[in-house]
Amino acid sequence: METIVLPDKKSSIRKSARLQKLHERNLYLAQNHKRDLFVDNAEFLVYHWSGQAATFSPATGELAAAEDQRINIGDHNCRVDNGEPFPYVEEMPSKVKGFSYDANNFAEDYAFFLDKSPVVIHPYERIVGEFHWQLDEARFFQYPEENRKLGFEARKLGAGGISFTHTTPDLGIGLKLGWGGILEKIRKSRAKHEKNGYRQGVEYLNAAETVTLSIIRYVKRYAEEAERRARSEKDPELKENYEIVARTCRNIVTDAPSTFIEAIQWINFFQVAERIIGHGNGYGRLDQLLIDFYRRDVEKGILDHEYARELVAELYLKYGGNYFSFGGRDRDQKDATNEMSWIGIEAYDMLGGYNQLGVMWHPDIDKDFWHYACDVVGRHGAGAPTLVNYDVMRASELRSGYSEEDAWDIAYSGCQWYCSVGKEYSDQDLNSLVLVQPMQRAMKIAAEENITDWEKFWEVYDREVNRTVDVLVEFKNNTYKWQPKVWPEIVTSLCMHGPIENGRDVTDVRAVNNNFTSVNVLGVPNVVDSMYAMKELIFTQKKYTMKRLLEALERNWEGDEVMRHEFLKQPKFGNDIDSVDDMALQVTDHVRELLESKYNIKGFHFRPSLFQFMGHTYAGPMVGATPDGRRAEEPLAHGMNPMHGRNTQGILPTIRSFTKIDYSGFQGGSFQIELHPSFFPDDQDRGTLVELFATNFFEMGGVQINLNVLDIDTLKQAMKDPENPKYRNIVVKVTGYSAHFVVMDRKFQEEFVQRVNYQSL
Amino acid sequence: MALQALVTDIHSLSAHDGPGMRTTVFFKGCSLRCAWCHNPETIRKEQEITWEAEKCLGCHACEMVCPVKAISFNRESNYIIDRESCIACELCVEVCPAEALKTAGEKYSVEELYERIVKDEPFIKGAGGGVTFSGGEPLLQVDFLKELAKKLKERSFHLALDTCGMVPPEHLQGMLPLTDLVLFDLKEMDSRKHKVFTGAGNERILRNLFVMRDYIRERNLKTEVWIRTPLIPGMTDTEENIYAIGDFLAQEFSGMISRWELLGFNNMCTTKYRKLGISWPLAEEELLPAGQTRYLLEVARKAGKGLKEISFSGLTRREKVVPPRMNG
Repeated sequence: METIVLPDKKSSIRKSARLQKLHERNLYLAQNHKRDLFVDNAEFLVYHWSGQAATFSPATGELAAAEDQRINIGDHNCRVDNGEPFPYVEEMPSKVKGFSYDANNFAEDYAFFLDKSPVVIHPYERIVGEFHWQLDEARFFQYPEENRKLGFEARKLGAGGISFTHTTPDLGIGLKLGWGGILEKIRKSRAKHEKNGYRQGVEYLNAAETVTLSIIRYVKRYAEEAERRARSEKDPELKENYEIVARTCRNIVTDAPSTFIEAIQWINFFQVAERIIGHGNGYGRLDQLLIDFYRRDVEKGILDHEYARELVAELYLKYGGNYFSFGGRDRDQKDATNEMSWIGIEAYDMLGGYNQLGVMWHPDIDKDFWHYACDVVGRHGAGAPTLVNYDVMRASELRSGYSEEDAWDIAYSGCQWYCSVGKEYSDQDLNSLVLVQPMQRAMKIAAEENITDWEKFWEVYDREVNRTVDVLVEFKNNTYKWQPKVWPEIVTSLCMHGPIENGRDVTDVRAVNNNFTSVNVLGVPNVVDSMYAMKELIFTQKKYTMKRLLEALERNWEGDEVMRHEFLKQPKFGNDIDSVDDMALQVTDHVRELLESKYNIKGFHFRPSLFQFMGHTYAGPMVGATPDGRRAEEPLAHGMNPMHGRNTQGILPTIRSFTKIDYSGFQGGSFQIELHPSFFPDDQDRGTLVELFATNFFEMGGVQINLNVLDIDTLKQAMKDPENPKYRNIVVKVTGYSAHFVVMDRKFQEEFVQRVNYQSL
Repeated sequence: MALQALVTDIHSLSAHDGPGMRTTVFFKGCSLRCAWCHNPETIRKEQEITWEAEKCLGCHACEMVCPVKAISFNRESNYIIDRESCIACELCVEVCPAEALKTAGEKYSVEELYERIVKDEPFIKGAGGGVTFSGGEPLLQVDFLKELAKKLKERSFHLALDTCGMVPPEHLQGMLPLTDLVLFDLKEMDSRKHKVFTGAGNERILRNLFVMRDYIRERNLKTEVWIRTPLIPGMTDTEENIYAIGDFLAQEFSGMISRWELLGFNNMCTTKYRKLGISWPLAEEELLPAGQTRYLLEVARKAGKGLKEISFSGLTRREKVVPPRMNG
């Protein structure tokens, strides 16, 4: 049965009747599985590469996984499911004229696909544009066999990744040029490359032209449809809406947007045109992108704060989870907060629930705005906005080698990642290194070669991590070689600094300034705890041999409960105990130095990220029992957060352990915290408590907080009774992203309810 | 010998023991024996060994290592400790592989406890937060407490003292100048009942309230006072009791008391009793119905006219409106 359950009221900002209707539709889509995102299998979550699809799981089409096999990772898709496959699959140009791995073959498919994507305008909308299918449902998206072979080899050694890089295009480029201006830019650049005889560039820009022209047709169809409806509509309110839509769309078919509403509409079209290839990105600093439009319209008297907020809220509802960020610093390192920052967060406050917005803290941030953002987090309790530390993010970019000019304009962009807006294609978020696996190989070698000395064992560990990293590097480099041919990101390229100028797709070498490769390292706290326990019990006290330990692990500790507890009883990361926290520094420094010593074919080094979005849930049985006393069926630790239930001293010791690591050396590492609602007494202002907590956490060097306010017992009830309306609106911050709890795969739910629920911290 | 205290727990970032976020220190040893005690491990003033059945592997290592043969296991493999002969040498805790055995009560010097609290400083100093001394009855270790409080005051921490009032008056007086907020428990106005519920009559407690009032006035202290009344089903949760407390406070202490909190009962501490091997009569007791707590809050507001702030906090059970309990 399809239903809508309205959320509890948590905000004092009133919605207009029009927005309320749109909100209800958005909730309907989320609650009734119209926005689910799937992956092929558990391997995808652990290795970020399924061995099947080259991307997330296409929802329909020849590369779609079987329904009983794929895993639902929650309602964070932009695609709106209508229950049907794309009707023109067989007419795709690549099917009719032949498929080839090149940008023009791709562009022709894209144009055909967009032309056949219907215009969807709902009553009461003022911001329009949505889609039912992604290109990966209609065009063959698979790398050549040589690449897949390398992928499987990497997986054997504990690594993988689809390199469907998340980046952050600079929408400012498009807002300034409009589609017509972009087209002109492409043609000018093409003429230049033609003159220089750079054929490859000319061909690429032909493809870019094909794509841009199709987007212009797409926007024009919206304008025409809205005009048609405006003419025939009798209801005055609806008629007025259609007129607004018609005017807005008509004005931005080729021209650059000149008003606030046109800018919002332009952004939504860009998001649709880009995301329709099956890949979402971050979309930058919304407060910086819109502030000039806002001020101009207010000055002209055609816009006020409230209406601007309503339109931003509508934009949020259209896309699903929005990857925008707010706050941070400007070019001169002064606070960049402006009125649009407020409007952006107020728009969320008005809607609540699921979203992926980020607020970038720094010591000089507008105090009132920061307090408000914290208040929203505490009040709605759904992990939105994500709170991140601008200064640490910028420092990590500078440390990697970004120029000052590229590093200041950084945007939190989703999960744990952040980008220099428009200036990087730093393959991140979807590469994985399961650090437990090289450790396990090292243990086997130590047993075979009878190594009893800790230093020697560390050398073997170092060698084995190196082996895994090497095979990952090889796999990645092969992917980079093929990527611009297999699945160029042409729409993204239109709003990047470099690709059009250079005649190269953003995925290609030398297209943009920064091309690092980031790798999510999975199971770090388990490796830390395991290495520490082994160092103590095997190498120092010599209470057990490695062979004996391996036997116990092989049997999943069966019959060795006392021994398991001895390993479990060793100090664990997350309790502010220096000895084991030093091991955490040793292990993280090691993997960082190792990754930083490897280069991709774009000339940039690898970087670790102390985060992995969901692999820890599924990796347990794949890697088996571990020397930290963990049984095979237990999940691994979540990112750099201590292993479930091992941080027994409360939250502050955990934070102290957590922040001993210098996060500027890593590409993100979010701190996950689940607060029970009773943590907040009725008479205390939630915002004040969240602010105090978050500010101190950041001052200690933390980079990101994902804060949920929820009662884990309620979630357990929700698992038993998912159809019960009272559970339908519970939104949880899974890792870096939020989703409706009852929509998620059961495994995710199980992992979630194992987390520590702090009633008092 | 340097002063030492026995502490059962230190809670960082508690939002329920006074204003803001606080670090709460639980001192071991209490002068009352409340039937509903939420921290049973803090009652006795000696260290105690606790046992967690769920964690126990049944390896009997503790039994073998005990020098005074205080440990045995019954036929159902339940651990039994003879607390009279136990000398709290902690050998069993050390040897237990599963951490099923733990010691309740850790010794701290003033310096050690100070260092531990200061670690939380940035988190607890903003938003009116600070440090709360709780227990048990912290004033039973008053010399230690004063030393610690002096050091913390030098660093401008906001200090709260959570007391049951069953202490020599000079202990209370000695701490008042160092205390920003007293959380004073007033549980039952009928002294006979008080004796049944807590093991002692309430005369000394009431007297100490006057002592505290006069001391604060005479010395012109800025110490704030909150009164806290636990609502225990079938015991303190009567209209009569709440009215009597409210009336008493309004008559004698309005002006001095800035808040009176009614605290709802819950049985979440049941596992603590189990670990100590104590059977707790209230283990199965339910939360109070929301209707009853609302009613009692009304009674409190009526009786406590003139008191600044009267509130209820805690979990309640959802139920159709229930007539208030009218026993006693």
